[in-house]
Amino acid sequence: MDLGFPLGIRLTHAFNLVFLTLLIRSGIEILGGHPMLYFNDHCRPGSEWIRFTSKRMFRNLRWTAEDEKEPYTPWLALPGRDNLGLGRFWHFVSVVGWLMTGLVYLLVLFTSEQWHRLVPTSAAVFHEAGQAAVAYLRLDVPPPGNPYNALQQLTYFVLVFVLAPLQINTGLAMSPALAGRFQWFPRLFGGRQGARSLHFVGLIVFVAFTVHHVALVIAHGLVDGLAAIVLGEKAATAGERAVAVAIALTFVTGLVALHVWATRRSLLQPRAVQAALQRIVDPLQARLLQPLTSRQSYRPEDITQDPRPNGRPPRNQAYVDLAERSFAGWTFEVGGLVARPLSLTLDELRRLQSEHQITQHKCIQGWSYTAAWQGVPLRAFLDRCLPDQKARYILFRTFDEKWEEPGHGEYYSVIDLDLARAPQTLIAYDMNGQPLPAAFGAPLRLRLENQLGYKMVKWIRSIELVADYHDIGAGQGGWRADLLHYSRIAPI
Amino acid sequence: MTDSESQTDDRRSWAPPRVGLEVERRDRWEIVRHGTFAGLSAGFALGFVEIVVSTALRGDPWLPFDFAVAIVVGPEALAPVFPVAAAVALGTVIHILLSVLFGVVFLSALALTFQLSARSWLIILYGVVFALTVWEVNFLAVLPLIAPTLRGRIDLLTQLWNGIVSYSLVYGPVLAAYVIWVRPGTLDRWWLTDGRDAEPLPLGHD
Repeated sequence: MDLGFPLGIRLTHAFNLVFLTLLIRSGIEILGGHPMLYFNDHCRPGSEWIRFTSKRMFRNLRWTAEDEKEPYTPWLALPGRDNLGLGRFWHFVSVVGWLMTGLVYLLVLFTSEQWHRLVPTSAAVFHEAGQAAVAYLRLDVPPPGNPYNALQQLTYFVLVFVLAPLQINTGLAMSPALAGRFQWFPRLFGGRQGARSLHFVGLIVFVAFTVHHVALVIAHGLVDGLAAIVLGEKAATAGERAVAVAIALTFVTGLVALHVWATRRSLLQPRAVQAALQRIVDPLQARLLQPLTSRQSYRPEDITQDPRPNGRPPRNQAYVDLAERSFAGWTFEVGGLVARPLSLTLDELRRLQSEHQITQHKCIQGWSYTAAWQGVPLRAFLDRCLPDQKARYILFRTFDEKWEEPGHGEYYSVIDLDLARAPQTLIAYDMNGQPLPAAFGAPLRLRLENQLGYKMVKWIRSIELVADYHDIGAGQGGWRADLLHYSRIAPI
Repeated sequence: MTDSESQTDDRRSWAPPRVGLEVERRDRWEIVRHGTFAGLSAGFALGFVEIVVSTALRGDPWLPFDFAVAIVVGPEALAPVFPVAAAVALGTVIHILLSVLFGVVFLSALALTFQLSARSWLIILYGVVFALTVWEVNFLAVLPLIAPTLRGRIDLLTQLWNGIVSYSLVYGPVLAAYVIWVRPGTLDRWWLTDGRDAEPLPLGHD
């Protein structure tokens, strides 16, 4: 039978192009958050195998990971200019579209005879592919297949059944929720950083394939190729070829317009774009990944020496004074919608039942480290303070006045009450057997091991149970969600 | 973007302080100058190897020139009666101009992606991949468009040795070797530890 180019194949080809280009550009934005790639999960400066930044950090850790960001141009990245939060939203929305396109494509393939176009059924395909390669090398065109020749069939097979699943799985392996629950999963790819590196290499292979694909389409005859993929006509008339070219040009123009619109709107009205994309992304994250609670257990020898600090410690006088006397006399407050507000000194807090865990910290920027944490499970505070039935969220207030960005309020974060009761959720006071250093959140920091690092608030002053967060700050559920357009939840 | 647009949105009006040492500099003319030198070096090396290979395989040292000229004047340049001097003159000009053009493109691509200071093995890999891409795009996509009559006129051995092997083992690596040797636009090699940083601690850090 003549497989040709039925409507389902043609439509998914077009949608694939739309979502792949969005994925590539938003992926570049995400890369800019930490423009270095590693094959080790400690991410020590200098151990990266490739980097995409014009600078290096000082060799004595006198900096924070924020300094390592590289703002890429909007001509390349979506949206560009150091907008990691929106880049992630665009990436995840595009992933959803790309996966749905892929599912439709597979449905078209395997509910008809169309699977023959991709799946070789004889070992002769390798010999025939060699013959096709020789023909190309001679600058000739091999005989047409049905619809692909053997070399094309093998290439598309690898692309659809090897590379695409690899991209999906390496992307998932970077999710702290998934990696926290199934610690073996990222190890399949050499750890979180191995997965991140392979995810990047996969992107390069997709781009290289696109260049190769377009070159071969031109070699085979560009206009005939367009007539086949646009109209499904293998032997098109001159008129049909003209129509196909017109449709293709219109499509490419529309695609460029979509990218320009998405980029400009993201840069000019980030809050509106954040809200729109969040409506698609967050329910999926909340249902699929948020329920995965952390069961991490690393060995003491896995602990990272000299891990990256992130964020600069508070400079306000109150904090500096407290830090100078090791927070003696300071009390940690638990209040809000509770029947029994709590007020505990650090010594009192240290006398509570504590837990110890060695876990991997996964920053939204892309880097990671492993450390040992000691602290009080957050659920222990909830059990003591007796939350009101109206309480749905926990608000973390901090000493961090964000002196680097004056006028934008103090740092805060909101988490769901359910997360607070999850295993390995700690209010930590020790790191690697020592009291928390200021750079890592002294006197107290949150450990929320199925979330990205930015949800693990440092320099905690107090916590409050609240019914709603929309009247706090700019109403997005956290300082970074308000100002940097990050998601309120971060299981991936 | 207009001033009015910049006032109507909720974008950040600030940027966090950034520290770090620049390791790369993007200077347009420096890139063009070094791209030209790199392209010339790689072009001469490629031309030499192609002449040697053509002599060894076909006994005709001028074949690469004939093919370069055929792109412009058509397949008659491949005929034995076509004057050698004309083929060498025009072929050399076309070869060198394209070598320089692709040298500048290579350096520009490295600068654009902050790879001028990359590890040496990566730059060699970039050179090989770039040269193969140039070969594929030129011979499979551009040539059929501008000189369709050359389709099927090149035998497999010539294409293999004068094409893929020469491009990937000579043109690309020589481009890369130039970058590794000269390190244009590179202010510092980031992976070395020389312990000479003396910048003050960012405020508030312990």
